[in-house]
Amino acid sequence: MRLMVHRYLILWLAFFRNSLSRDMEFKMNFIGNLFIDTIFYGSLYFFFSVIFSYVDSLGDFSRDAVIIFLIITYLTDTVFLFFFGSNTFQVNRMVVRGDLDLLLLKPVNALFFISFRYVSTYALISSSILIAILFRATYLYSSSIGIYNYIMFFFSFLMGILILYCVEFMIACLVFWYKNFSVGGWLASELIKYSRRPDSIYSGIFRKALFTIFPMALVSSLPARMLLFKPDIILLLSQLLITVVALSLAIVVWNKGLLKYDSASS
Amino acid sequence: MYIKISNLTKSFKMFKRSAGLKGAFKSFFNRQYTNFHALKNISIEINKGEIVGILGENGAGKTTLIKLMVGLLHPTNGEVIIDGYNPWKRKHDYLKNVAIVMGQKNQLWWDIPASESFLLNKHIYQIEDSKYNETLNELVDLLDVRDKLDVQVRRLSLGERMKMEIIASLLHRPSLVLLDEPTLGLDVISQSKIREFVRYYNSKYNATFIITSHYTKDIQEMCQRVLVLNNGSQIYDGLFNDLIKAINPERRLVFEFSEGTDLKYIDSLDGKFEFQIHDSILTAQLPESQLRELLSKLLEKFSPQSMSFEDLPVEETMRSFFQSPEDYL
Amino acid sequence: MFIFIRKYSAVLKINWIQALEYRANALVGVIAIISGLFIEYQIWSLIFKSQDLTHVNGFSFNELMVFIFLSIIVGQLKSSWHTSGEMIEGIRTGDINKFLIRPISYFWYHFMMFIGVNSLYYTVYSIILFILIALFPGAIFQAPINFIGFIFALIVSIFLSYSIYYIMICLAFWFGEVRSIVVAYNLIMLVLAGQYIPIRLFPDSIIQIMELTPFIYLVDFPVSIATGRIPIDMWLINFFYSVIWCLIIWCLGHFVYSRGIRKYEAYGS
Repeated sequence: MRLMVHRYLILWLAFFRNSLSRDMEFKMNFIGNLFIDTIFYGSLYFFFSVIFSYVDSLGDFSRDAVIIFLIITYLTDTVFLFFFGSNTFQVNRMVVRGDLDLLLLKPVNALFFISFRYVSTYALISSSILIAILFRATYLYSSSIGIYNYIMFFFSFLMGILILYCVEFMIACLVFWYKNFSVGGWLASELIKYSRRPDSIYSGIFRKALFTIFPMALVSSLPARMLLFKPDIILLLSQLLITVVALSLAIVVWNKGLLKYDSASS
Repeated sequence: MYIKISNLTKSFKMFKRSAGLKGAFKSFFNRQYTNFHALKNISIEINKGEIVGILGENGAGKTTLIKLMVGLLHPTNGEVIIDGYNPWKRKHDYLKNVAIVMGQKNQLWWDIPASESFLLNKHIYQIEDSKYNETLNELVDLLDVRDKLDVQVRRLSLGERMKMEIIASLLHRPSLVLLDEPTLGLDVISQSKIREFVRYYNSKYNATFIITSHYTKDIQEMCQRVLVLNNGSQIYDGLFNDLIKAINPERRLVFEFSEGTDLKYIDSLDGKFEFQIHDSILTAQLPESQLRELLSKLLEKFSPQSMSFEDLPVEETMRSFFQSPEDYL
Repeated sequence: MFIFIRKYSAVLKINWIQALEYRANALVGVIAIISGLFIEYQIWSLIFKSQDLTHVNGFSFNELMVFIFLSIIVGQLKSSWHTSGEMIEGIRTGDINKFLIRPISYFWYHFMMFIGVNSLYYTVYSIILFILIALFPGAIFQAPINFIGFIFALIVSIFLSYSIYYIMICLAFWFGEVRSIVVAYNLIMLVLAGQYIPIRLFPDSIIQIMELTPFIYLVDFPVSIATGRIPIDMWLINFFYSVIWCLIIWCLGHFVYSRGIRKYEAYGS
């Protein structure tokens, strides 16, 4: 087991090295991507500032809480992008062009390979900036944030990213059934929009769904709750449960898709 | 037996659509599928260290066969066993001994130097440092690309890129190598370099090679044994030279008469054989047996000033073979 | 003129066929707008309830929902990620050469591509629009003239949007890879063109700035006509401005293209 972890860690470092070497080739892209991120964050911020010109709070999220929630959303987005973003994005093309073939013939777990092959190294910069901003914002936050809040936030945040990955990946896997699913990225971005609003704006049965079968509230809202509100271990454990279920489901979908791919490709 | 393929059949479900806007509309709501047999009842056995060529026209099933052998496709029927493994289970132990190079697909990353991609393969195949350096040095020298190692792949020529692809695939010293159109689109020098390399590598490491190519010359120079596919069926399995003999290709005879020869007798041969006479030179392009008959008739009456035989390019031979293979076998 | 239409309608037809191949696209298109509306519904119903509002800036809750829904649809119709990506790639790889040696206009060819690629969504969204009219009579198209005005404003919006893309794409002659500019523009437009929140709800100072740009004609103008939020006597002047904007942007695009092509021909790629 330790050997396995060690082996895949080394592999990931090799991926990282390849990706860094590539990204250094295109320095303009580096800056361009940071520019896009800024615009994207700015547009989300603008949206909520218009909303807050009509209200003082969204449910139990005050204005300050929503700002911290937004920073967490950005951070989720960049860390996801760092590890997975370019990979889930590539799945469709790899299947359509048949590049998946070569990947499947490597003596490496194919799911690991396809999920981690491309590292978006520039996201490291935006992540660092965002972490600094997050610390600053929590420092200025009105009520106190304890060490337990930070610890639970950390775990909750990581699980949020895994859930995001599962959703993106499973949607990307639809290409195995649709032959060409270039709209997968679009579909995913529409669904992920639900994670970019604090969970307090949703109500009723749909809100319950967002915490369970369609776990978008667990991506950034729940980590924000862990950080800003009273630490709730039950909530964290249920997030763990749902993360495990989502990961298992992603593996099942991938394997089913591969079966389809094996029998259909020519 | 290293490779054993028995009664292998592969069929695909194909989606059918009639042409035009109306057809598109129809298929939007109601799709029709048909079954297409890519391979029918193939059986072959291959020993370790053999180089086997697969010949066939577009759509004959060459790539499908390669994919079945490497484990990218499930057989619909029958079985493929390679070195005791079932390829499509894609066991890591099996994959560590196999390499595939596909002319149209690349595993090298476009925007970084090939050496960086090689390093990744080192980790993927868990190759030890010493063995990795040794293999890499050997391959780089054999294919003569040492000075290109640190150039971004997109800046390489097609031939250089293919050589790099081959190196990347052989770093782990596989015992089975599948080459699917390895020389497609390459210039003549690169082509012959790659052929030479395959023969060398095969004899040194006793690796088994399975090769498909559009260029019959590739097959002729690299493979002794060939498998010929036609519409998914196996129509020939044997030595390449025997196949050529069976096709009985035409050869060309150039026969120059000595000066002042009376050519009246020649007219009596006209009609029996096909030939042309220009000045005092006779040229004929006929199958081997007829050519021999003509020659003996000529030698009965004349003594030549000079005389020569030429083989036609093997490409032309194969072209006429594929037009109606059943005539020859 | 007739030959012009025939030539480019062939381009349009090819894309139609391609678009039909992918039923999935139609499905995702429908999910996207309905899901987009649903999110806005959630947040605005919370705002209306928690502040006990009956109206926000002259919108009742239902009116606001209709306005936002229509904005999402129009916003979707005017944008194309596909065509812009392909054009940039063409300039980068030299594929554009085939337009230089053929008697076909680069601008109009890709305009037809733009419409062709999106035509699937035009069809699907029209059906949804008709359902909307049937379910909520009076919410949009109170009079036939609103419908006619909407169609005209929509055509202007699509042409304007394409022309703006065209200028950004032509920058590829100088910078090679400009996809990040297009992506950034798309993201900005999601907010500034009023696809998330109606421009009318923005702070006044920002609305005043927006009125000086062509961006209000992308989404806000057609939707305002459809929902009867612009008095009829203001139509003409607004149409006048929007057509002027089209001309300005089109000329600008033409200028940038001819400069770019000169640079391209001089240096190759």
